[in-house]
Amino acid sequence: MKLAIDAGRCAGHGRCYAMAPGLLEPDELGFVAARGTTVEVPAGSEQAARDAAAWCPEAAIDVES
Amino acid sequence: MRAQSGVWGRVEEGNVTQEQVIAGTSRSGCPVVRLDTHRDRPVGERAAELNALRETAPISWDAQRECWVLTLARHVREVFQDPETFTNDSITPGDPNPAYKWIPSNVNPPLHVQYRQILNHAFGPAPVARIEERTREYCRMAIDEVVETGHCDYVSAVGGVFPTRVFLELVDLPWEDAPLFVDWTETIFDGFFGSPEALQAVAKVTDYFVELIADRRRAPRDPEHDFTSHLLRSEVDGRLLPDEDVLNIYNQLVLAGLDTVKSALSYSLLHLATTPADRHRIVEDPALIPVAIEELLRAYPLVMEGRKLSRDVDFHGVPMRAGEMVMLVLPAAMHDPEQFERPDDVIIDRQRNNHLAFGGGPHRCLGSHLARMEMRVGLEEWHRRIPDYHLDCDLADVIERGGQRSLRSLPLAWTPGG
Repeated sequence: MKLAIDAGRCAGHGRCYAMAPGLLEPDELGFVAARGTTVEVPAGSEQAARDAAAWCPEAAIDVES
Repeated sequence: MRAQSGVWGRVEEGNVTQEQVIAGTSRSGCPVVRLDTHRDRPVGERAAELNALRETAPISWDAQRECWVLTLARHVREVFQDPETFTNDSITPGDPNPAYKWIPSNVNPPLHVQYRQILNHAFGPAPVARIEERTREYCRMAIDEVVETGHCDYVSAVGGVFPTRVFLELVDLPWEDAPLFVDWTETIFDGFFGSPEALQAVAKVTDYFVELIADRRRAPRDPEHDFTSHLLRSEVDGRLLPDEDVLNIYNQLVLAGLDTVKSALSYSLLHLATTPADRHRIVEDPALIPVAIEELLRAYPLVMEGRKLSRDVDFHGVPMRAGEMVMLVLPAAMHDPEQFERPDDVIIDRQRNNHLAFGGGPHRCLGSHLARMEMRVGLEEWHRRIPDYHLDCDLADVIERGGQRSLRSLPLAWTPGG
């Protein structure tokens, strides 16, 4: 599973890294540090990853199986 | 739409109130309404009417402000995510050509992001985390004042007090000046923006910061420890910020950040005071508070944000013209059943709560990290000291002020000592 994070859409609400701190973290400006990239989801973290994507108010995170 | 009880008041099935729809008129197929948002109302009444408006007419035209009224969650998100069409030239519906300029709210991308970067020096997640301890101290100070008496007006004693001290601390100003700002912001937001008293209070805020800026120009301080000095040393498009920009930034911070946090805390306490089951859950498991805050933000959005069209556009079948404004009715949109299950119920541990109470897109509220931290600390500290309290008046007597959503007062009572 991967999370594809759209840099253009990320507005720095911080819901993803607040709800999945083991998976995602903020940059200095409050955007998710991994924006514009695709994050590999470690085995066992699939639920956290789906939650993180679903919490995003901008729908900036796509879950790729 | 089923009738609601509790703080939402009663809603007639599918009907908007008589006041709202000017019968027999329409604009481009949309009903014409006259939204009343200036009067004091019993809490929940206005929100219930806006919910009903959403069910009747997703898009309508407000004859009072002469702007489009959007109430669907997906329309609101679409507008936030299209700053080229829906600009921040004005964000006040009804005032398409404001005399003032807020920075960064009245600045469009791409210039806008440079201001945000400067301001993240104080409002980003890291500086906000550094100020959490002090926030807790200021919150405890406010609660200490009332805990032994067994009653207080939460709005004036706590909710309006510690966030103001925190704001001043954040921008390296004396927290003792808090009462001045409490007084000025109360006046500015009481009623509507253009009143003589409001303008006078705005002038006082401006005077305070004019003096501050002049002082820091005369005697600059270390920008790492003095936010004003940091602003005066910052550049946009390769040029140092002029005094006017710094002033406009401070005006914005005061106007955007104080009344809102006070209100968000107040609605949260109102809900918890009148919903013992949810209050008990928070007391038993304070780790629930962050998720609970998201639901309280979704349930009680405060802001009716505006955008101004830069070009003609067909917006889902409605022809909108350049120069017109749209009003984004967050209270209705965040109760949109298309986006939220059981939207009018407060589900205190609601998951996957992707609300837009802080707005969205590039202008997502700069203070959202700070506000969330203040709300978390505020709820933690209050419930630690005073786990059992109730509303000290009838719900029908809790008044929501006109203008930006806020409670006039929130009388709470508990056993003295907590």
